[in-house]
Amino acid sequence: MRARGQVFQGKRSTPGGLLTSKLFEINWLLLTLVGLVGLVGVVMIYAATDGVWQRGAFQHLTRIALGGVAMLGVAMIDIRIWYRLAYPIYFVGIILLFGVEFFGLSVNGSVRWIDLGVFRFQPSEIMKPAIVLALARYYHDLPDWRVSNVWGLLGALILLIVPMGLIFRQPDLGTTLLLAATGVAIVFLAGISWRVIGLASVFATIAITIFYQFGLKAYQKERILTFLDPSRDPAGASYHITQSKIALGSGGVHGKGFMKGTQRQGEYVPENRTDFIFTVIGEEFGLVGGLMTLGLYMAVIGVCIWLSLQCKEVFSKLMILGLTTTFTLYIFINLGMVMGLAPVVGVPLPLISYGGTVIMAVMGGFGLILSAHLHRGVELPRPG
Amino acid sequence: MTQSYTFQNQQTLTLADEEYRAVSEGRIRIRIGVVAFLFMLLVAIVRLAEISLFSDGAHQRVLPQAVQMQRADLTDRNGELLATTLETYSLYAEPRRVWNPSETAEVLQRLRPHLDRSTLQQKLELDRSFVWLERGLTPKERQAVFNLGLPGLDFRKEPKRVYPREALASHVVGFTDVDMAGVAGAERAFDDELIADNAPSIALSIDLRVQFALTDELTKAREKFDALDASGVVMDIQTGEIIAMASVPNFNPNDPGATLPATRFNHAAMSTYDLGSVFKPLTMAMALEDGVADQVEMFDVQKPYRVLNKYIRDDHPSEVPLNMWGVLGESSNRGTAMIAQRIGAERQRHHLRNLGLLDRVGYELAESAKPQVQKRWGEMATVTVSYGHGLSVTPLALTSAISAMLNDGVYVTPTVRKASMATPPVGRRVFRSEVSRDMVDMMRYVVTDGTGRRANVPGYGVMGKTGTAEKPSATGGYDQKRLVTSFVAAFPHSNPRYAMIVTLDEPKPIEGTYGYATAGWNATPTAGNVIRRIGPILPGARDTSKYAQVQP
Repeated sequence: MRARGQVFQGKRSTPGGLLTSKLFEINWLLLTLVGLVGLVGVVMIYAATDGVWQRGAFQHLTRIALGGVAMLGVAMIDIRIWYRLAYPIYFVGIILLFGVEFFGLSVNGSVRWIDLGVFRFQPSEIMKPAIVLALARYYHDLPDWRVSNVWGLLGALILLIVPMGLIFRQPDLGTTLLLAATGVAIVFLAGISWRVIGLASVFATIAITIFYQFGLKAYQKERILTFLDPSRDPAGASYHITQSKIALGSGGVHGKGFMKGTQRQGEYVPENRTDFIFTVIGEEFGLVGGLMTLGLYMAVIGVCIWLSLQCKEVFSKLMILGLTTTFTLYIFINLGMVMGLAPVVGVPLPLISYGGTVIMAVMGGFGLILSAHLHRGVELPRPG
Repeated sequence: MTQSYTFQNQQTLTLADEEYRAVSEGRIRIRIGVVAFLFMLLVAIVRLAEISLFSDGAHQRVLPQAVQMQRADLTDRNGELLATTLETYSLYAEPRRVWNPSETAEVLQRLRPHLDRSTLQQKLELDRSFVWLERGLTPKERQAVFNLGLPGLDFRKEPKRVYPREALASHVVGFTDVDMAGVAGAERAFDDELIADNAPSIALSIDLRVQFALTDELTKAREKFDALDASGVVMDIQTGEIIAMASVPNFNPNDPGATLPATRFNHAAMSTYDLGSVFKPLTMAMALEDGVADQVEMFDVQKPYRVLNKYIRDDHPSEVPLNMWGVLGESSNRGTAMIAQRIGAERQRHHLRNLGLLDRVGYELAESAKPQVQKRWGEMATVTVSYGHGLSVTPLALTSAISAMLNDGVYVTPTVRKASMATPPVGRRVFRSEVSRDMVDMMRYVVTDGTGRRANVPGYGVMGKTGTAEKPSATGGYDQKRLVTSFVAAFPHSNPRYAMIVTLDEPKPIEGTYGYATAGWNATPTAGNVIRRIGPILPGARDTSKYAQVQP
């Protein structure tokens, strides 16, 4: 991972000079797969909203299309510019999170939104790619010997903890944990020594115990407890889990058929066009539909890992892997939540769940991945 | 382009040792990541398969009220809605999500003033995740609560049984419990049919217009004569259909608990009374059927008549001997007793059983009382039963028996369902046709010339018989002050089609009845009032004979 060095002495580093040839060099496979996942989302939101086109499916389609354009735009921008923008983007994200603290909009009891008049968005979603950019840049700039060093570790920790704290205060436990997991993954991939990993695990266990005792709101604690034992409260906090499992299970192998789900129609599963959209897939397309969706996601992730292996620069590699990690965690936390394997923490199914900021953030992230791959020949400056 | 890539690949091979180690360590870490990822993937797939393949719908029973969401309508015979199911909303709270219980309770109580504020606050402060606040909100009320924007409050859709006619026909229609299971009346009797998938609405035999007229007149009579309660039945004697059945006071099935339990009691089908002289026509018919008496023989009713050691009492004894018509018209106990003795206990019981008077009325509703029958049926019992004492039956049962007598002698089991042409009612013959024809004329005579004159509504050829019975007293024997008065009627005389009864429990003498509280003064005019109102509504009620227009 610490690979770099005297690449491309004196050679032109940007592939092609013309915009068109650059477009041609983009990894169209990833773009197509991402688009496909988005279309699955359009179809499933259409079903979840009883076939009312205007209740989400249309907006979702628009967002996927806009996101695709944005993705291409991000991809075309030189990786050096993204490298330079890594910290500024991170700081803008932090400022926006502070903005939420003071001017935030309350939805469902959590303050996560900023209203810009024209549209609202969730800075916590922006923070997900931003933290990856910042950490990738941080480790790119960090000399090898400091990676496992106390000061080197402290820098990464500060980068990670400030946004985590702000998002946790919203409160949004799901995103906080997602950021933490992404950060840990990047630190791990950056090559931190196994000794530090061992020590950190011990501390983490202790910290999590203390955090659970004192750091969580009553309802957050309740969710975790009901997750561990859903029968303790059949109509309350575990209602989501029970109902979504019923919906999933009722689909069987082949599902009930498009627009034929009864659990969905009875509105037994709340939030079924957002976080619980997978229940609609499971009920109407069954095990087959669920596995196909999963397969599509796996293809996206596989392509991303493959792209990262072709990159040489630490920044590019860490960025691709970090963004892929976020995306993967989104999927598994959401599926775990829907299938009763993880507590209900409010994490959407990326590109399929209804919700604008998530789509923009995720597709922007894929744009960065494409950019890193497209400009894999570009050399980035490295101090030390 | 391609050249630069090739060049790049060659570079990897010429890396320094240290850098090579770094790269391989990086690859190892990516592989560890991929293994972790594949493990998560495996878990997800196994779980997905487990849920999809092995849940076999067992979870679905956990669903709250998911099954019983629909219940078919009940209508009257003309399709007027009697009971239907509406979508309502029930308000519940998730106390753990409520931000400020006292403020929430205050705001909510301002909108729903009938809720108790301190109870609300207590509920909202509970350490639970679910608590009902109010059930059965209309969509409008739901919206109003929703607009308050209080966190932690939510609604659940719940079907609710609604009775648009409220108290009208409440005893026939019945009602359901909170879980929409029928617990009384037609709701109970037809429960299985109503909750079946895509069940069609059920048309009852009731005609709401007739039901309204009957209920209205009974209500007025109960007030006027200060009776404990009043009940009545209107029946189609040819089909057995109950066109109206009422008991006042009645109740509102939308909220059965709002009034006293006594209001839910259907006296027409649940109360057994010694109904008195309304039994006499049956005795006459039995005698004619068995051929033990004819219509011309004179009975010495002017003299005291003793059976065993008891004298049979006539309130207003005739001063001359009477034939059968006279005995019925003047309602002579003595004459009836003489005829009954000829019939004998054995045959009397046989006829009563055939008339359905020794068992509960076998119609659809569970509300059907068993008659009170004496165990020892000696000569005295035979005599008293012949004029309606010593055998307690419901007004409905007696109406059915009278109907059989007038319906060419054929008994048809009453029904609360609208009869269909496809399945004509099956009856059983109780009396010969000639007997029935004679009784039709004899009962017409009671109205034109006897005790039933106050029910003689012109144009409908009303037949009838009064009945005044003393209630058993607490000390034994009968209480002359506490009466049950009835008038059983049928019309039209030319082709009997409808039978009805009006029964008043403990009517009081009022101004204009000269101190009397007997049937001729209260139940009879009430029945007349009902016929006056329902006659024009009912098909085939008009008398077509050439004597019909003759005033008595």
